[in-house]
Amino acid sequence: MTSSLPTPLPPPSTPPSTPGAPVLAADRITVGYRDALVLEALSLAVAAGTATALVGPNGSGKSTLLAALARVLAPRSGAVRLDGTPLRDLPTRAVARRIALLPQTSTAPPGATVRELVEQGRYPQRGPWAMLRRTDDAAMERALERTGVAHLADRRLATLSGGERQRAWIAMALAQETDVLLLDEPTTYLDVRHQLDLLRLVGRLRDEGMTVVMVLHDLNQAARYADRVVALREGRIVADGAPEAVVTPALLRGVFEIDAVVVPDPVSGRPHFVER
Amino acid sequence: MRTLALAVGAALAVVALVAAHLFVGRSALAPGDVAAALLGHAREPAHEIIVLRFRLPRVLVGLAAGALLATSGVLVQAVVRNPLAEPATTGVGSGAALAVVVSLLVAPGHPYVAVAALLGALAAGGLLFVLGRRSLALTGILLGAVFGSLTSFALVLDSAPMGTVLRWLVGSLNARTTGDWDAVAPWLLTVPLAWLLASHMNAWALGETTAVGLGVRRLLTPAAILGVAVLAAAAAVTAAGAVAFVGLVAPHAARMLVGSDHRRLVPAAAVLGALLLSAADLVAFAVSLELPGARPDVAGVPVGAVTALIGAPLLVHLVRRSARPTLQERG
Ligand SMILES: Nc1ncnc2c1ncn2[C@@H]1O[C@H](COP(=O)(O)OP(=O)(O)O)[C@@H](O)[C@H]1O
Ligand SMILES: [Mg+2]
Repeated sequence: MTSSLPTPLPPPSTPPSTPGAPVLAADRITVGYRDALVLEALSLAVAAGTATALVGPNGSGKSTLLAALARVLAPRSGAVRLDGTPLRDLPTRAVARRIALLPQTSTAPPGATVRELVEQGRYPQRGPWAMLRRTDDAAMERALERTGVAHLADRRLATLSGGERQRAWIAMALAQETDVLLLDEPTTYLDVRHQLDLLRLVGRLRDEGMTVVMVLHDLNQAARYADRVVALREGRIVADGAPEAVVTPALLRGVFEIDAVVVPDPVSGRPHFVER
Repeated sequence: MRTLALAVGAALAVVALVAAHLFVGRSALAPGDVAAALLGHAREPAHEIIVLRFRLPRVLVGLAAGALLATSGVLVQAVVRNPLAEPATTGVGSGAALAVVVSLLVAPGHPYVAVAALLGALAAGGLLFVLGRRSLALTGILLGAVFGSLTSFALVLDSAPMGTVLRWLVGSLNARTTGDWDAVAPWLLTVPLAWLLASHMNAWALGETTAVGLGVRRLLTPAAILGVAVLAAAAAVTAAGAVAFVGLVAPHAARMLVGSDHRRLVPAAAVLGALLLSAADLVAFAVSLELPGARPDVAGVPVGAVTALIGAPLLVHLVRRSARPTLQERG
């Protein structure tokens, strides 16, 4: 049982981290599963108020890294620090009040409605005892609105399309109202318009001071909507920096084995690759 | 509104069942005699014994055991995230039966059969905790199978405890006494305890990664849910034996009525479980009355046979349905 926690909550309106300072930092973390190591001595510091895209081939360790950043996977060595404090030294619910994770796959019970799912996002803030009362709060309404599923709130998840269901899950993560948001492949199952809606929403959240790390498969979207692109291959960071520095023909060949040209996107000026 | 209607309906059903249990029996008591006995001024001492010592404990123990089985079912299903799990998945019922047989072999005819059942159930639950780290459901089913074959083995060696142990193996509410009610009543506290775990269960239902991301304790939370499940199952099995299917059917029916939110599911399943077991017992009793020569209050058809008859086809139906995905993947 998660007991009430002594740590006081920082007021949600003022982000606890100053912009630019690393809010979340992996410090030489080694992470793996029972039989295999996936990340070895990997370091990554994420600055507050930025949007970072994690890219890399399937199995390169993106989801593993995100899970470690959310302390869902404990590193075997090294530490993930939140404002300098190792996550393992923080109460689990206190971490959940600062970091929200949308995992790559999750399950909801049969018959659950969108509202019931989104309400779960309030668990870390309200606590298990207060969660025994069924209440809608402003954070839930905001999350439902921002992801465009407010009109679906009382529908059962089973009756939704894949994309609608995906947005309901994103609403669940948003309802946590954390200052760090980790999204694992948030655009899968979304049609093009909803992908763009989501990426614009990420941009707005970033502008409001939120720190976002997201796994994206579309490199052009990563380049256009992230401040920083981190490329992984076989559990190692092989490129890291501004989109212009990372989305290059050399990286596309080396990491993704694609022969491509990179041109400036005529709208944003960000790099845009086209396969040769 | 709908909640109110459901609550009123449930209350009426409970009253009707209790009345049926009190008014129906081998001795044809006039309704006035039953009422008088209940109110404490029975016209004949025999009336008081029949109503207060035989009929009332039987219906009360039935309601309690049903509520406990259903509550345990909801908890077990929550912890393994599988709506096909049930109290028997923990092996607790088989543990109780084995302990009853062993105790009767060691000390034939001893009066502490219920104590042996409770200790056996709790020991089985403890073993599940120790061994079930990796796969809870598999461990519980395996434990149940091992206890079951040990029970058969012991009965082959010496079949003297057969009559007594059958009650635990099949589940029966025949010949319940006020002592049985006194023993089971305190355990009803596991129902509100289960409700207090409802928000943890709701979060846990989203999968381990999401739940831990939300701040749920990875080890403590499932352990607490399972712990209450084992206590409720142990109490139910001690009171009524390893009655099949109530712990599976009642949560399922409750889910259809109120949805999968545990804040509603726990109370709804508890009430439905109480109704289901007690109604099945009424059927068992009525059938026994028709059997020539049987004394339905003592021997008679065990309620577990009736619930198995209702439950087995339902289980087949559920399994067939779950061939279609019951868990919603995120995308
Ligand atoms: N639960 C798990 N148990 C064992 N190995 C895993 C598990 N999850 C992922 N892996 C392995 O870890 C490696 C990295 O996986 P993952 O982080 O999911 O990659 P990505 O998200 O980049 O596709 C893969 O080789 C995968 O097979
Ligand atoms: Mg992945």
